[in-house]
Amino acid sequence: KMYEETTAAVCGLPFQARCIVPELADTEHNRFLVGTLSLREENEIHSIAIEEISPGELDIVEDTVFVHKREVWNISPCPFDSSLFFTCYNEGTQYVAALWRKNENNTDLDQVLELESHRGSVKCVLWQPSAGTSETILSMDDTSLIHYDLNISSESGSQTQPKVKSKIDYKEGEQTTTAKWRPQPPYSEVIVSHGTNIKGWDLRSGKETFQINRAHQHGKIRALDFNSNKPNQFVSGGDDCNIKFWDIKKPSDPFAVLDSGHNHWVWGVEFNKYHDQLVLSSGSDSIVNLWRLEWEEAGKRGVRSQLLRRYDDHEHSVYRVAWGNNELNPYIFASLSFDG
Amino acid sequence: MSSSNSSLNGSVDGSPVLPSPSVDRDNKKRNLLAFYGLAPQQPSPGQPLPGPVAPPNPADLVSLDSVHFSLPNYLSELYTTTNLPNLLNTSSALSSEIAGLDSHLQTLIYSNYSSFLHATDTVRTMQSSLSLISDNISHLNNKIQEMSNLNDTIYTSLQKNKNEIVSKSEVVERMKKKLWLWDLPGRMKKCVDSEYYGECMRLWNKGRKVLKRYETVKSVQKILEECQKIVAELETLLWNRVINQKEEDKTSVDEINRNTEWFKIIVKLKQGNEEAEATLKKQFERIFGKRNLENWGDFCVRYERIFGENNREKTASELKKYQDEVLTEYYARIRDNLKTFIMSENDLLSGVDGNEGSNQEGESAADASKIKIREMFKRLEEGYVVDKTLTAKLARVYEDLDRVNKTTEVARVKISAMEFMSRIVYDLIDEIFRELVSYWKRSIEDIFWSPSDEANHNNNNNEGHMLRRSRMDEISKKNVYAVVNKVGNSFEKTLSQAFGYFFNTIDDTPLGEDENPYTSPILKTDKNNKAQSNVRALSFLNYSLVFNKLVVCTQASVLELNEYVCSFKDTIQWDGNEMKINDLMLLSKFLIIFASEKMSVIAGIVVKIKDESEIRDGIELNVVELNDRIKKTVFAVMETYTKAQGVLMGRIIEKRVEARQWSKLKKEPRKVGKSIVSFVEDFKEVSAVVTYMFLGIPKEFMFLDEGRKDSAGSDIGAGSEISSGRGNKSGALATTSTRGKPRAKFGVGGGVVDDFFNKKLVIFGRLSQLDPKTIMTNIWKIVVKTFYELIRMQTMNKYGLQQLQVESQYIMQTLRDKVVNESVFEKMLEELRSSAVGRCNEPESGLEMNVIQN
Repeated sequence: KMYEETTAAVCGLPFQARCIVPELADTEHNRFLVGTLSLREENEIHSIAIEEISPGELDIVEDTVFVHKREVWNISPCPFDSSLFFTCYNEGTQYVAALWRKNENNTDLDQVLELESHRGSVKCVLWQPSAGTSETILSMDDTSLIHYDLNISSESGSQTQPKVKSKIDYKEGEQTTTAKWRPQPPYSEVIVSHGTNIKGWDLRSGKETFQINRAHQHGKIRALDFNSNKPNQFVSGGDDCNIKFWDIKKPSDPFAVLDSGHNHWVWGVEFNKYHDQLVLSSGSDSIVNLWRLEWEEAGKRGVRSQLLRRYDDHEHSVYRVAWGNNELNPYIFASLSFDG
Repeated sequence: MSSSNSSLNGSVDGSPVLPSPSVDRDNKKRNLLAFYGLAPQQPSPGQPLPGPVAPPNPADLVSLDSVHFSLPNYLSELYTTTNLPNLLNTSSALSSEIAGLDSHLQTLIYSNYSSFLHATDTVRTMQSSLSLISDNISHLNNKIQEMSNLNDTIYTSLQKNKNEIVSKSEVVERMKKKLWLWDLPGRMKKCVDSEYYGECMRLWNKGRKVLKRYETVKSVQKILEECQKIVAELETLLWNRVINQKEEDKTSVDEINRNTEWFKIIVKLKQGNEEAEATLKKQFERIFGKRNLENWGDFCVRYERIFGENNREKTASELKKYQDEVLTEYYARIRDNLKTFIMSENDLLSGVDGNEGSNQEGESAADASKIKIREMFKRLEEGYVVDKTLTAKLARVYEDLDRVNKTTEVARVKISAMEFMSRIVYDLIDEIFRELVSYWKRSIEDIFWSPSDEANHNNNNNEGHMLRRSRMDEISKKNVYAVVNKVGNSFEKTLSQAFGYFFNTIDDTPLGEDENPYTSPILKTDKNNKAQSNVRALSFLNYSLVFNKLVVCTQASVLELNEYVCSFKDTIQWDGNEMKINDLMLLSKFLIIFASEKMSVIAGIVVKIKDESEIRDGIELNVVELNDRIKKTVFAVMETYTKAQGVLMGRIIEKRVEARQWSKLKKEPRKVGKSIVSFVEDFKEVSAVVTYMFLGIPKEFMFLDEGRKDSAGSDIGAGSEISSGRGNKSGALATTSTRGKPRAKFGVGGGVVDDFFNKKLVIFGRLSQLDPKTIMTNIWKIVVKTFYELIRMQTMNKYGLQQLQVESQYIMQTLRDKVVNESVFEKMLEELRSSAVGRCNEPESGLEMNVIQN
């Protein structure tokens, strides 16, 4: 379901779904990838394009469906090639990650490669967020982060396994849920949620850079996102219903906490890529919130927050929200509820 | 019959109207009516009978009682406007009416006739008796004449003797006077000896004139000299007595009166002697005036009586000075006493500071406050209704002022006194409330938090909690309700006493023990005195002012406390720690008690004065609103609690769900998992705790009236998460998009869709009311929500699904009665089951219902 302030376009999916992401490579359209979640049926990846057909009115101008056999738990679109994306899917007993290429001729997806270095379930795959066409990725499971160099040839057909650059073992039992690659050069830092803690990892040294213990009171941290405009800031959302804003330089306490928006676990928190005062959040209380942050003065950490809009239209848990990737119209976002 | 009728008619009119053969029926009727005084006006006999000069009103023609009634008209009207049944009805009604009138007429005529016969008989009898009486009277006349002659004879014979008697009695009178004069000196002497100086002077004044007249008679002269000597002696005696008088001598009213008499006599005796008079005046002022300033009015009256002159103006300033002294003293006392007015519950704090054993740091501040309040209690007990003598003294001052300067001055003084009092009470209210609020705050702190605990709290939650728990327990042991109630009662007592006293001192009328100052007679009885009325009006005003202040303070302190409690909510919430959650529960309990008890006390106070609409006007103590504010806080705290408890239980579930290998179960479930059994036990325990918390809470406190039900009530609706089963949608639906309309706008003509969305199950709704089951329902929703969110992240095989089915059935059976809303209960479980089915990788593998139930 897509919203833009008061008007929204709604798109129904045939199955339940958990993940929606913007197609990063396409900066001229608001295009989203959605993966469905059905254990027993054939799943789908939808590539949905949204346009503002008239001021204030959105419409779905394109909805291409690709068949993805297994249920999709996560999608990681390639930042420079819109036909490429990773999915993390339930392969039966394990969650594995594979790179897919959209087939332009039919609704099939061509599997480019499957990451085979993991022993446990793969939680997510991250592309290096640099502006260029770096084919460097990270994949994460409960025990380790693996850093690869991809070498994608343009031909179809199965690829060789990517070269593992480095591997970080957390040496800790806490379950991981999500991770985010810091979007500033030298692209060497990744933050990972370990239960209620957040840790920063240096990819070059393989060491911890910082640690926030009990960043959230209890449960898990289910969402992390970096502010792409302010190098050190990131946001986290967790099972204590709070959304917290952090500064890597001062990880001892958050510089802002939004504790009034959600009644259940916070599943998604996203900074707007272009206007970092806009933050979207969603949770299993079926609510999507649009926040605005106001930095009081440059250089200071004081922040005033304001709940711009509360969308309670969803019937079911909203596991992901996503800002559109259109540079010209960066105010469109999408939220996906479990019922599709 | 007609002849007797007409003859009666004639006798009433005085001028007989003979029945003429041509007289028509109307005429007879009119005469008859006239006789009975029923005719509107009597036609004079000489005039021609009034014919139908003016055309009668058509309504009159058909009206039965009208003079112009016309039968044809009536009938035609009846025939044209009425149907047959009505006609028959009218006919029978008329017949019976006619029959009734006939018989009535007969009765009247008969009774008239018999009266007439009676009257004729009576007149006949009277005529015969009259002749008898006239014989008797002439006989009587003769006798009286005889008596009169006899009387004349007697009078003439007596006249001579009478003159003699008169002259003799005159001599006797003169003789008597002389004899009295003779005895005068002796009697005067006797009076002086027995200190009846007034009587002595009376005798002297009486005898002096006679004696002076007959001064030339030797014997008389001697008497005169003797008398003068006695008077001179008396003069010296009194002079000495009066001049040597000491102030202390006079204590009783009798003595004062006697002294006044002495002064009066001596002043009379010294009349003309200015020097002596001045001395006496001075002496009188010395003795009476200065010492007894509070009896100034009395003094003035006596002064006037003795010296015959008005000295009011002269002494007014002195009086004023004295009065100020008294007032100042009085006020000082009142101020002191009012300060002790706080509360009189000595044992009140015994419940709070029962933790003698604990020596935690940081209690010193709380202790200080307790001690302070305790002192106040004590002072109040000792000091209340200070000093009746002072009050009486002041009352006398007013009374005297009344006599001296009349009511205006009294009113002025009273008003100033009253204003003074109001100011004191006004300030005092502040003080009382400051103390009360700080006391209440400390009570709350003692239970939930004290600054020094913070370190404790952070380092070791359990310890911090146990500390608070033990404090709460101690209070509970002594009955929290009783303690809070006592605080409330003392508060009420304080105020009513303060005002009772306030009124008591403003008005001279002492109040009865249980008397409402407001209905005090001084306010009610108007003696038609403008000044008094003004005093009353002003005291009203002052009372209103003070009351207003009280109201404002009450409100402010209630709100302050409310806010304070809220701050605890914020420090405690969301820790996810079981101990802290229990603290939240304690907090709500305290709040509920605070609100339900305290507010009723405040309400009680207000209600007492409520009848006095004049005071109530302009005062805005909205007890209901205040109560609502507190209720809202309670709701907020309870909601926090509900959430926290739900999350906490959710976490327990989380561990259990994640610990299980749902996809690797190898056999059909045989029994319910231990984890679920313990979840059920936990839930039951929480339910018991919540139920316990509401023990003794009045029912009416459990609801928050407006709006809340709407916002929370929708959980009755069917849950849609359930009905929208997965996998049923056809692929064709996939690309259907609803254009341009956000879901929020479906309300416009949505039809089925509308219904569908309206039935959304509100999982995180607010509490619709405060009762254990509603709270448990909300906790239930959060817990199960968490449960199925967790399940949705699992993948299970068919045994896993079956296990979950069995367990949800078990939960259903064991917890059903803990949750208020069964449809919510079941729907949440259903959602859990359908989530599980969705996460099962082996289709159609659920168990049959009957299998599960076994």
